[in-house]
Amino acid sequence: MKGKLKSRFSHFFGRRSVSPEPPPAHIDVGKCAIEVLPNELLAAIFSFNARRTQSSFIDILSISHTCQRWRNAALACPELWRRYAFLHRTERGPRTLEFTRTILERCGDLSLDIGWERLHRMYHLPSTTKYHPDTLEVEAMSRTRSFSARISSKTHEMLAPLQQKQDPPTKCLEELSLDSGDLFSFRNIASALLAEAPLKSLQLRSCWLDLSTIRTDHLQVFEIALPSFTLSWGADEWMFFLACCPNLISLSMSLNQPNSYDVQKDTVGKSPTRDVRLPKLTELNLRVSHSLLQRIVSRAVLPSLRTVALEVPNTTFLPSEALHHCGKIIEGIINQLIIPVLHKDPAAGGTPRTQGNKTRDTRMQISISNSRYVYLGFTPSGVAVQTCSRSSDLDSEEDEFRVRSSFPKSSPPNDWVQVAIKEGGSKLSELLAYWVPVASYISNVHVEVPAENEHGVSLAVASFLQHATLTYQSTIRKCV
Amino acid sequence: MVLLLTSDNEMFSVAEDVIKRSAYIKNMLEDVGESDLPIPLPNVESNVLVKILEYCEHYRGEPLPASDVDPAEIGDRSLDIADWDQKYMAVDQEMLFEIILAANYLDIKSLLDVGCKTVAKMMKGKSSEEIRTLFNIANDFTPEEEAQIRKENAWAECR
Repeated sequence: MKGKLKSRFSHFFGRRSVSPEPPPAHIDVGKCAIEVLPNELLAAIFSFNARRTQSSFIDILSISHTCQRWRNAALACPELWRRYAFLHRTERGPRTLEFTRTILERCGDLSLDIGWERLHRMYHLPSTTKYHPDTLEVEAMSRTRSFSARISSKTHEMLAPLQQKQDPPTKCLEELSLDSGDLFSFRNIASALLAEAPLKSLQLRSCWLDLSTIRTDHLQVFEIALPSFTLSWGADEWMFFLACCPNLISLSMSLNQPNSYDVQKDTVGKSPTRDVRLPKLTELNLRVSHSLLQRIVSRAVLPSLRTVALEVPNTTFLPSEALHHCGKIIEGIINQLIIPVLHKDPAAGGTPRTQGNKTRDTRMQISISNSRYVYLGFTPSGVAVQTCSRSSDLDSEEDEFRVRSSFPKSSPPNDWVQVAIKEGGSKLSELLAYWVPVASYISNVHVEVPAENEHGVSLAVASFLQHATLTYQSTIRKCV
Repeated sequence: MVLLLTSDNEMFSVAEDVIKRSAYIKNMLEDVGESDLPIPLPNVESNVLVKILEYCEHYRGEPLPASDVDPAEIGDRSLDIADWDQKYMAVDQEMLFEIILAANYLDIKSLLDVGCKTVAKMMKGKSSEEIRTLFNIANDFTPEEEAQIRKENAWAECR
């Protein structure tokens, strides 16, 4: 019976094989070795299986259905139950209510981490399906600490609990992650829910809400990715918003196609006179318009910066004026953002720090690559980045849910400053000249020379490397 | 050197920087100071202590993990286990649970986490019946509890 049930789940939730890895321990037939563990340790083990996914909920149910002792241990551990999505069921009725009530009881007084997994499956529901939140679900929302959801156009009404006016307003929501996939949507939830929520992490993908009405003083992680056709804010509004986020540690904005060359000659004069100071920001990841980029480079003060990933237009298709502008932005990044950090913190450009018998590398890395776009990076070592919380941590083994960082995944590990040039972009080599001020920090050079531009790129790299240290290592590979 | 006396009366002489991975021993050494007397470990047998010391020796010199984080304050916990730790934990179930018990008693947080993760991974994706088989656990539910469990299984189905 159970086996059949499990196989039904597997089919329904697209679950992978029941046992992803062979168990590392042997089965000792005839003896129940695990009974030596006290309930507190059993609960500690169970808690590692509690995640914000449907499959993990089934794991926790299975654990609580194993034997009386395990059930008692599991039910006495609120931590196991607080991550489940209450709000995603379509079937309304006593059974659902009982379920919600029971799970809420099992959570005790803990705040809730709700991962709204796989809502896109609801896409296949008949369009007549209506969803109305019940009072229990609204109660669940008011206790939510972390909420992440992927929503499709046909399920937007399921965000209703988010849109209910909370009275008193929720004060525990710290993490919010909304992903509309490829279907951009406007969510009018800010004023209803977020007015007083002390958000620490906000991640929006293809989803826009009125950010001017939310509390930003606690915000540590802000990630936004919008399709190119959406017009959110202009550079001034964004700069004003950033100025209200003094605790930001990680900022990632992907707002439009950098191919659109939108430099307004008069934007410089309109720059706000006020500097945007983000003293804790260590990670900056931008794919934004030239005007906003320029504004950030010229106005932002980022003394803790460790990682910069920046996407600038594909230089192959740019007119020479735009190319020049692109170079100016790189120059700005180097002079305004990178050099000050290198000067302030010698560890950023110096030798690796040794701690115990392991080397902890806190140096920086710059990599330029150009596949379709030019990436320009300055990474990593940002230990602080990993200490801040993120909400979109749904089980990545099962679902690629995260808002992607635009920094190339394959970038080499931090090894002083690195320069990597990949395929395409004949004019990229011209931009190399702008990197001369940091050439002396280079320890590694990775070059993937596009066959069609081999000669030009090689010459540019050779010229650039004249400014580098003598000890760098280089790898050169031809792209096919 | 620190002297440790196991429950089966075996004496171990261990370098202080090795055994200080155990917060229990570390605190005891700080409280009591230098002493020639062995520290009794009535809950740890010698074969388990050998295994524990293997772990401490491997991570000798590594910085001790930061102080406890409230699990309610962090997100989902990773089930990733380092290669060496996986090999280290490739033991029979009896030893696995003894390591967990000892790590808990000696307050070696990182080892306790690795042990718990190892067991959690063994359970992941398994039905209750499969878990019972894996750990030799008897199904001792009453008919009433069985009825409740069937109802809860229906919860997982209805969405």
